[in-house]
Amino acid sequence: MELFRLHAYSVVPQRTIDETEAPVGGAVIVNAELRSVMDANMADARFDQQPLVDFDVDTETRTNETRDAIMTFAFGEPATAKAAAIELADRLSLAMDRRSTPCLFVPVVLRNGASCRVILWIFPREDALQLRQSAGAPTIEVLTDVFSQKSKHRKAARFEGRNLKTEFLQGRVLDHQANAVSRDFADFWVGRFLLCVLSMKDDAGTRLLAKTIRQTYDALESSQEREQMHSAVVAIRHSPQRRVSLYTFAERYLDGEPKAAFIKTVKHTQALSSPFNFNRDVFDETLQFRVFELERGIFVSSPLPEIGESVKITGAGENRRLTCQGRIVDEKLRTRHA
Amino acid sequence: MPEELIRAYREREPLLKSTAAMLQQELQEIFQTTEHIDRISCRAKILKSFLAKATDVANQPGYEDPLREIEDQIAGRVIVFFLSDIPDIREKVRKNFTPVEYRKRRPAKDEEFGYESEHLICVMPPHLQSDEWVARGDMPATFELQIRTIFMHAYAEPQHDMAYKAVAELPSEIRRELAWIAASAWGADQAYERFWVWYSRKYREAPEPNTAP
Repeated sequence: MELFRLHAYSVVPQRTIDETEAPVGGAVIVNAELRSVMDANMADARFDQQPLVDFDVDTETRTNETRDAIMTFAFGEPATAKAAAIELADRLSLAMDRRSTPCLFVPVVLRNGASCRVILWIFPREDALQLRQSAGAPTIEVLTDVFSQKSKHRKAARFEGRNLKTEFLQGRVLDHQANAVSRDFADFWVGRFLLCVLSMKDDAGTRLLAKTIRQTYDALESSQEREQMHSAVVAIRHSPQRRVSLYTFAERYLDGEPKAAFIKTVKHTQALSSPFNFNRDVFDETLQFRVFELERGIFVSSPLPEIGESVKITGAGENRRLTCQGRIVDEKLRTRHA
Repeated sequence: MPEELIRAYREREPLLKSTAAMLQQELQEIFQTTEHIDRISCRAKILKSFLAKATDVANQPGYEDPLREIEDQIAGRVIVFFLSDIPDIREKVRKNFTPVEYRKRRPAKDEEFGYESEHLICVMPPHLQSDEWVARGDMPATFELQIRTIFMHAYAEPQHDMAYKAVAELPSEIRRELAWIAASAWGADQAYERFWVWYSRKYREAPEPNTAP
């Protein structure tokens, strides 16, 4: 694709500031060296493996401020494109608070006929030292307008299509902070700036996870392998890390044959890599499995159809009691529950 | 263009059909425990309908790329018993898909009766995009979902391919007959809703807590 347009703006966090400054920057002349650097960044980002996001559009008007500005930047005349880029830089500045460092915002358009690919980058500022050898003694200069291409805090987003209402609805994001414990901080790039949501909705992803676990469990033959699946179920239900994908679930909780069988069960690559926020109620409802924690560290896990049958619940509220009866077919000694 | 479009659409029909089947399965799972669902169905648009829409001169501006722009190449429908079921269904759809368009279709004037339904356009979610879907790169980004009651459907479906597409040619008396069917269906929905409100108050709502000393 032809590199058609590239702007750069210095952006400072201004979310909690009353009197804001306009971002500084504009269109940049692209030379061979810059083109090469941007190509390398695009290759490093591995966009095809990054999470899918959807623009959260107004369903009455099919508008979204960020999407509209991105499309104007891609398809507009130079003056309107510049206004759109400034609007994006302003929006970015107002989405960032002081936990973020100032950054270089670089919106790029690549063009192929009527189709455009827009990539938005932010490269965080880093303080760097520069040695200068002058006629007298060497000096060290502190550079404050240096931006890092390799920082884990850099972020990117890619959207593409033609100038049509049915295009530019879904894209991919590079965001290493997306799994941060602070949701407010984690959501700044995707939620507050891009005005996007994860393409895999929480309920859909959780249901797919539960279905895949059930299918894998049924396909496994040994009791040890099945027990690993069971432990993984208990672990994810209690994990504080809610953001998960089917792939990260397999990486975190499974090993050996169960892991391989789980990944093989997922039919589509997109389904495997798409993150979502785990929803325990949907998980339990789909898996048809319920785990009860009793007093004194006792856990009872039961398939839902057995509740009311061999697993009896009586009483109400805080006085609910559980009784269970059945023939023991296997047992394990462990240092903890899961 | 039509020959090229026909060939291109025929080529993608199997993929549209298999994706529609996946969507149907997905919707059935979403609404597995939801009450008052009469039926859930999904379909891939047939070639004839696709071509009619792609070349319809009434569409202004016309489609630049109908293979990407026609959003109901895959469409689903959820039919429910009562009017008050529709918001619950819509909410569950929003929790499982990203909608980009929502239209409550109904006649423009209060004194008119005709087609009524809710239409949502949603982005195709990642888990319904097969590897073939992704690799092609020219499949639609969205699908359509309709939500309606049995009576809305009873009015709409029998005459969909007949009267809806030739409304200007219908004799006045026939148009009045169709409006009468629509009015009857609308009235039946209102009456059924009143019945449901009465029934749920009497038999389904939790009893008042006993506050007697």
